[in-house]
Amino acid sequence: MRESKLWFFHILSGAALIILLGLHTVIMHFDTVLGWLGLAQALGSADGGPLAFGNVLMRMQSASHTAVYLLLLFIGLFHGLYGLRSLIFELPFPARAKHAVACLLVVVGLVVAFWGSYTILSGYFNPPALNQ
Amino acid sequence: MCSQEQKVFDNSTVVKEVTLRVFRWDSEGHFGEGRLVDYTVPVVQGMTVLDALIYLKEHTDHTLSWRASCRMGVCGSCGMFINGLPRLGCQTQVLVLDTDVITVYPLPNYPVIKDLVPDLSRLIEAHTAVRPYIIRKGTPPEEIDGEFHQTEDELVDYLQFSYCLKCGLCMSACPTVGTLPEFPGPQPLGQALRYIRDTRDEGFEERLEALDHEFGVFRCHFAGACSEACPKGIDPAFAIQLLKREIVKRTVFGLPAPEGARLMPRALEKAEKLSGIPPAPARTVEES
Repeated sequence: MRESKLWFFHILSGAALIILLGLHTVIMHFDTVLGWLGLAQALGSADGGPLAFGNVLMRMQSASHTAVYLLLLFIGLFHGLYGLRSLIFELPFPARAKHAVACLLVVVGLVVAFWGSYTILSGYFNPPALNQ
Repeated sequence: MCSQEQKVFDNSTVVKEVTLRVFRWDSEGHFGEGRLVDYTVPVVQGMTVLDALIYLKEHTDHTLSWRASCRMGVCGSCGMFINGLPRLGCQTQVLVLDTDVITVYPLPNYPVIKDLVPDLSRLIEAHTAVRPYIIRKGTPPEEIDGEFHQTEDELVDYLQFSYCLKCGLCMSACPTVGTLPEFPGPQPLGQALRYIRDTRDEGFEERLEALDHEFGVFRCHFAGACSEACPKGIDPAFAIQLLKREIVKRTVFGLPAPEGARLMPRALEKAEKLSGIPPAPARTVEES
């Protein structure tokens, strides 16, 4: 893939991360404010806060939350690994070593993407029971 | 007869003496790994650092080496690292620096040939790689019979970037050039934009190979040091951002190139008919 496309997606993913991390921060850390706004129930942070087991379970079974988590995983991974690749390219190694590290980062990205997706999707399709 | 008193520019009276601390190195090892040598220079009004170096070579140490040609900020040969900044020696006046000690190093980010003479091969190679000339897809430019029509706005689009001297100061100021050997650098990238923006040019795809790769234009951090260093007031950092935008527009979004300059065939001949200007003399060089 052309570098211009990767770079453009890097910029785009940065903008998307602002929104997705903003959502994450609001849901996980601003539950009191959500309570004032009457959104705590809908966003899964009422009754015991966002880390209460029932709320975690509710978010895991929600299609919209699952989609947001998947997006956050893929976009965050791409953004972070592309940034890391850019840093590595400026280290004083030969170009061949830089390419090898870049390939390694792709493998790491794929493994983490698979692992993360498995975790998120297993929570959605096969959630733990509330009474366990 | 002029009644007003004219202010005379006095370039003969010594105003003060300064110490010129010059980096010396040669391949024969006379200065070891390289060291600073102090020289005293009498300063007159308007004296530049290049003038001071010329004074030293004429009066104190004829083995001192630097590169210079025009002495008036046109050729871009006398780039040096003067008091911590890349500058042209011929454009930097000693009194303006307002110090008694002036330290002169060769330009950073280049290997040194001798004393203050940098090896500019990297600049020349990267500049050549972006094909800094007008590329036409059809008839070669030398065979086109006529003129291209270009509006003033179209000219202004690239005019600033065509003032580049190729002095290499921007390359020595760039942190990415210093850390990434494969990065083309601000001068070649600015020149790539200069030709891509020229409506007469059709060579965008040919230049992509040298621009759109993992160590290419997208590795620029936008530090902006190149624009600070440019002795002609060009803004290479801005050029690089415009170049990124141009490449993304055409490669990611697939937008077509703007409409090229229209050829005005035999325009001169028409003008001659209208104005009665006699025709130009016949060619003096045989066509091959």
